[in-house]
Amino acid sequence: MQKLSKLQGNQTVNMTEEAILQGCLHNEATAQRELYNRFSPKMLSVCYRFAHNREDAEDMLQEGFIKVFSQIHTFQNKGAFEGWIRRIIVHTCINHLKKNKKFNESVDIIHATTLQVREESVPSIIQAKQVVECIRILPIGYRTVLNLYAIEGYSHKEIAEMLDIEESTSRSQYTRAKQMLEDILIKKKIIQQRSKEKISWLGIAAGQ
Amino acid sequence: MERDFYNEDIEQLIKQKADQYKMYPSDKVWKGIHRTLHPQRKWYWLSFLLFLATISYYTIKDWIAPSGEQTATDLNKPAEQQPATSHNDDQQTAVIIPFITPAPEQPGNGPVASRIADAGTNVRGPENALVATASPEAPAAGDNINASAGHETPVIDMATRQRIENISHKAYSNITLLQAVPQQFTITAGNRLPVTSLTQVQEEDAAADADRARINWLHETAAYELTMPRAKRLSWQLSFSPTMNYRKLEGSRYARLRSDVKNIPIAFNIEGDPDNLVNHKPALGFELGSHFLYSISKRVTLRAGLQFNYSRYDIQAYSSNTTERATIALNNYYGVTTDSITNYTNLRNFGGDAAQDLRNQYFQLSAPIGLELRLLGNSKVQVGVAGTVQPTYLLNRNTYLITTDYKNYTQQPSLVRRWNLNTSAEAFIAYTTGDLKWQVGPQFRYQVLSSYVRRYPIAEHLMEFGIKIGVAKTIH
Repeated sequence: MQKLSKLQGNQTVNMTEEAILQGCLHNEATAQRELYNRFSPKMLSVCYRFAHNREDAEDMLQEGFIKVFSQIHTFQNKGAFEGWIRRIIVHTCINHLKKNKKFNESVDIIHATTLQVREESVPSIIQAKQVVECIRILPIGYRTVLNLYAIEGYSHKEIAEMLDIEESTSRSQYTRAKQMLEDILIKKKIIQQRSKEKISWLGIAAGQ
Repeated sequence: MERDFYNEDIEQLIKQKADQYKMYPSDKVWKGIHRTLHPQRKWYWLSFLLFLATISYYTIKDWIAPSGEQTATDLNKPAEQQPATSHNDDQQTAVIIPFITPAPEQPGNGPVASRIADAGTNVRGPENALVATASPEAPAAGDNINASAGHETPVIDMATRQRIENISHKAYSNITLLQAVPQQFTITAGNRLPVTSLTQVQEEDAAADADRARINWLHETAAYELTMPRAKRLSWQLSFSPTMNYRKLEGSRYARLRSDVKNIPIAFNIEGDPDNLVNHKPALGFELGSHFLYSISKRVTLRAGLQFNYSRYDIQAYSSNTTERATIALNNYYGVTTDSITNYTNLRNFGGDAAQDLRNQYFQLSAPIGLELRLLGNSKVQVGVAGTVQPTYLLNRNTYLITTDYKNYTQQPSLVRRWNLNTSAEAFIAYTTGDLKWQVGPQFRYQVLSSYVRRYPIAEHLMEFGIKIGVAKTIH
């Protein structure tokens, strides 16, 4: 069983994942805090990829963790706990986008074929943050499909159900999103122009 | 082939880099989560603090710092210990005017003091002032004046009243004689004040001077300008009601605006009145309120304040071993867009692996404003009705709601309405004792707007039946 070691104030708290789960089932604030401390950094980055800005991402994270704690009794212990949490967070992000009508705006962007990327719009931070910021430059419809398919691993059929769109729309949006992301990465000189050889990742190479 | 290789490569690297990225949320995120998950603790403490504040208020008001009229009517104290000025703050205090009757009328009896007792009723001038006289040694048998320590008018027989009026008249005309004579007086039969001997006159000169000044002021000003006592219109009420909470569901309220059916999972959909499709049962709650009451007239009183309501009811549901997708189809915006919300749940409405009771709790803060109408009664006992309108703020939103196909229960705080409107009607019987007014009676409270936002197709209205117990204290 994986052990957790977390500093809380001046105290070191060691809790197993099972202990956290049991504590959360009994609505204990300490266990809930432990769970939050462990998974919130990764889940916030998930939210950030879907959200319009960091503030929206934190709203999504808050709503998502409230769902996690209130529905934790539905966790079956059949899969990874992190995967279960991540699924709830992703659905919360989608619901949040729908609720705020931001996702629906992307319907008009389905047919967009070009995107002007300004040089200064990409932060000069390299590696993970650089790639994430490039993803966030995409129009929200493209970005959402790309996030769900390429990163979260949902199928086009599942994406179509989640977003209330056709499966073919999901496929075409993903294709365009990936092409657009590639263009951005090339413009930013994060990757090289596609060649017959395997592409090279300049940013990653620079970081090594 | 090259393209496929390239695709896999870029997808893999995007996923790898995205998964590596971590961000640290600000503190407010956890605070918001904690506040939502543990709302009741704060409000239990606030209710407890409100209770303590009420107890403290009454303790200070009635025991530590009693009101002025009790001091003014404390007849067992010598005149020297009585307040030097008239207590006019609550318009009910006794005005004490020690004075002397002319020497020829009561030779050898020494000083005589009298008291004009304004007993809290309409006293406008000296013609209505009641003056009690008594000699220090032998109070006249007919001068039996029952001046209570409260608010009641002293009872004086006609002969005594005539004597008092005569003495009073003469006392006013001989007010200047006070300078030579120390003041002493007794009030009621059986309540004799300590008599100061003539040998102590010199020691009491200073007090006599002060009294003289006071009496002159009373004679010239106060005795003729006693104002009508102002009615005490404002009072503060604390109330508590144990309540029984119900709810009513409506499924077709926004029928014309319902979502496209594609948002509902493709499955057998149940149609019908949701009230008949769910099993819910009432549960106990309570209401704690603090109000200000302002008497507009003898019959009508304006009521405004704050109150806290704890409402709850139970839902009989079933839990399942498998997690299911719970989809809530939302009302569309006049056909422009359609939406749905998908959650995962193992709670079912119709059947599952085990029975499970769900409890929906509502913590509400309201600002009621309304009117009380007195229908029957006198100054002691009254019967009345009251009604209020209550803008309400919901403190928690983690309630269970049913999916739009009535198959599952899930939680979706974004669909729960924060601001709402309640109405309340009550009947009561009240009993007044002193400054306190106790009341008890049935009340009914109804939530006008649905517990959920308009986009959720099912409307829920909460209803509470309770017995309200209240106590109101007049504010001076």
